[in-house]
Amino acid sequence: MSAPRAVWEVARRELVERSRSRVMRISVVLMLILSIGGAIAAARLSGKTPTDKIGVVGARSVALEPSIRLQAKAAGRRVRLHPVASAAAAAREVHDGAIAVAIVDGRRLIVKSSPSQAAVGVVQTAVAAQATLERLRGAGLSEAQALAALSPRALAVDVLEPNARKIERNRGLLAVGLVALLIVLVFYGQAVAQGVTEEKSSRVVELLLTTVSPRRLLAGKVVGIGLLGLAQLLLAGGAALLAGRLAGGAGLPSAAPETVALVLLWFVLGYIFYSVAFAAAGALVSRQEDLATAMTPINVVLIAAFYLALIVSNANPNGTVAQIAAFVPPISPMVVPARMVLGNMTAIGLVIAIAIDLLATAGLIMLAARIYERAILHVGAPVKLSRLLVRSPQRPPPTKTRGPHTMKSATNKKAELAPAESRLTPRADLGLRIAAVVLILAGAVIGFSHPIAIVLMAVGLVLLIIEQSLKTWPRRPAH
Amino acid sequence: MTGQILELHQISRSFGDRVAVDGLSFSVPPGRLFGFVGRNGAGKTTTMRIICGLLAPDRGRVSWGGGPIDGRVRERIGYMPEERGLYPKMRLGDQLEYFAVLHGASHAGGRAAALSWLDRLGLGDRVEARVEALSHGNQQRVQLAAALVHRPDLLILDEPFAGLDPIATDVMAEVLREESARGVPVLFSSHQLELVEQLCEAVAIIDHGRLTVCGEVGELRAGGPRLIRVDVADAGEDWINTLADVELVDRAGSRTILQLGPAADPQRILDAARSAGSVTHFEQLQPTLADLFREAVSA
Repeated sequence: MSAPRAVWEVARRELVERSRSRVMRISVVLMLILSIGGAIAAARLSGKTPTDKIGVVGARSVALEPSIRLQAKAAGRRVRLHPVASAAAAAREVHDGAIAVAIVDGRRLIVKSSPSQAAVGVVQTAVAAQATLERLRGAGLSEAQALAALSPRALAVDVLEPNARKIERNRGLLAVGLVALLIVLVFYGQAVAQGVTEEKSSRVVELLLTTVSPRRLLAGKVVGIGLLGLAQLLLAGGAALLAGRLAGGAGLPSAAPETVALVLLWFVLGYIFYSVAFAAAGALVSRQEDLATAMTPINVVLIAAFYLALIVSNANPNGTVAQIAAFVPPISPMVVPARMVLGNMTAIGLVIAIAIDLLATAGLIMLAARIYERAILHVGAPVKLSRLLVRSPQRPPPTKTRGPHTMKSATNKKAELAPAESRLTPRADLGLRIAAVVLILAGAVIGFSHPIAIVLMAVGLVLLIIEQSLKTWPRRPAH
Repeated sequence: MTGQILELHQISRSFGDRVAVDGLSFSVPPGRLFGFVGRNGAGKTTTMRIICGLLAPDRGRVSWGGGPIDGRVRERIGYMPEERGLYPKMRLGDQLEYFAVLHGASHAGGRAAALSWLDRLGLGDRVEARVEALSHGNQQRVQLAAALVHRPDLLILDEPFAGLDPIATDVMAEVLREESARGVPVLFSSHQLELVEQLCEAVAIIDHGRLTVCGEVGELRAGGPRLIRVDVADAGEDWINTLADVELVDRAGSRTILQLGPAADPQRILDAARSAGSVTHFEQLQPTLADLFREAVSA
């Protein structure tokens, strides 16, 4: 079988089996609810475009409709026009508050109490503009000439800090991207490690390896779980965007496509880097109970990178630490988007950072594949890393499985096939996860400039770590 | 690719200071049921893993039809590891389809093969069940199906009979016979020597990683020591002392088992027995595989 097909078939199994699992479905639904809810809340709280309801009485008023709409748009407002049968009916509706302003036969306005409200201004200007247009036409100008006369060229404006608005808009987007990246890396990276360990502890890996090479198995796992993570991210992001729009929010900021592309690119780069490392950690141990210990170094680096990126993007995206961090592979996936959007990182810097990250990832893949190849058939006590790396490739370490552990497990095969015992019930586990995600998202919504947001996110992260530790550490100490 | 011969040429493999396999050579011709016998730790599993490409030999090589065992050949091997392993949470049908696909089958073809094997092994109504919900014996059947689902050209089975009930043993034996009748070389290890003797045309016995006995079961038994069982009622114990080149192997009550040297004559033994008492049973015995095995590993 060709390498791409083998990798794809392994990835396909991950996709199919994982998307079938109940935990996965619940987490997708949860993330959807959270992101849609968050987006709606954000749209309600912030810049909702004001909407005026305007009653239109008579044909002359109806003819003003395009003009009113144009004027409203120019004033940054929305209008909803309601045809009303008579002036009396319009007066009643204005009185009841169903409409804000009514225009009768293009001549008269009806308001409840305040003649100076914005909606009145919109209609007045529209009527005036329409009248001017008609007079100009009457004086013999063509429609185009009349329109040109009505819209003189606006004055040029020199903006002293053109990026300030863009930065403010993108800061939120970036914060959400950073949090999403962390969550996805933690959940899906660890899913890779757990998947690898599961294949080892259930011993199915021996059967797989007769036909799929360890590298392809590793690649397929990373690709399959990664696609799932990406799909979930895009689904949640798309749903949030749509919900925000429908709720009357502005949707994506105008400068957002680059930011989104940047976050997605570094999401993919970061995911590959970390998931490969997680896969190697998973290959080192043969039982889920030993996995937490094996993953600790990676988790530490991941969370340190996240905090560094947080600090950098808030305090000083152009400081020395930030400048260096952008080129350090384990940290760069989180720091580079921040430096690009908020700081002064150039396109050349970006290319160099990507190049360094790709090089480091290639090196890590080779290293991880080596660890994976040598450790994957070793069953029993966790493998010492130094043993795998120091020895020459011709003489892999003992892979014979007839150790005392396997003797025990052979007589206890049913227990072996059961999932590793956890200190948490599935429900408590899910609860902890949800609490952690809610805290982190809450922090992201509040914004990184508030100290309370940092505290909320820190608590969320600690909860995540506790959840992972409790889930994977054994009830009784190992051996 | 069926109809090829599997050959091991002087393969050796050590783990640290421990030599697991030491200069092992034998071959399994097509269509042959080949038993692989040895004590625990003799090197059987290591040898099988080397054949499947899971371990690299330190020295020596394995060939298939004269060529090396590369990725293409490995796709055609059906392997049942000693440590049984399946995805605990995956459904039987999906799981077997997956293994078939990994060996190069299409999804539809793999699915069809999976269903037909599950039917054949009496699990036709459990296609949607998860492996973890099955009994140990049924998991074993799925494991066999996983080795066979891609219609392999070579079967390597590590202790396929371990833990099977008599009915399942019969099913397994029947399947192995069928596969070898299809022209597939079948190499399997077992500690159930009577079963190996019944089932296999040829055996290899290894001890401490070295080959001690290898050949056709019939020839090996015929070529073993000549044994005679004599039941003599009311005889003393010393009647055999008069016989030349005869050794006592076992005696229980009136039953005596003798091993004959090259100079011994069965007729003289019968005469001696009749003069000692009344003979109720006289038979030339062939050694069982178990006898050969004990002799081979104690040497």
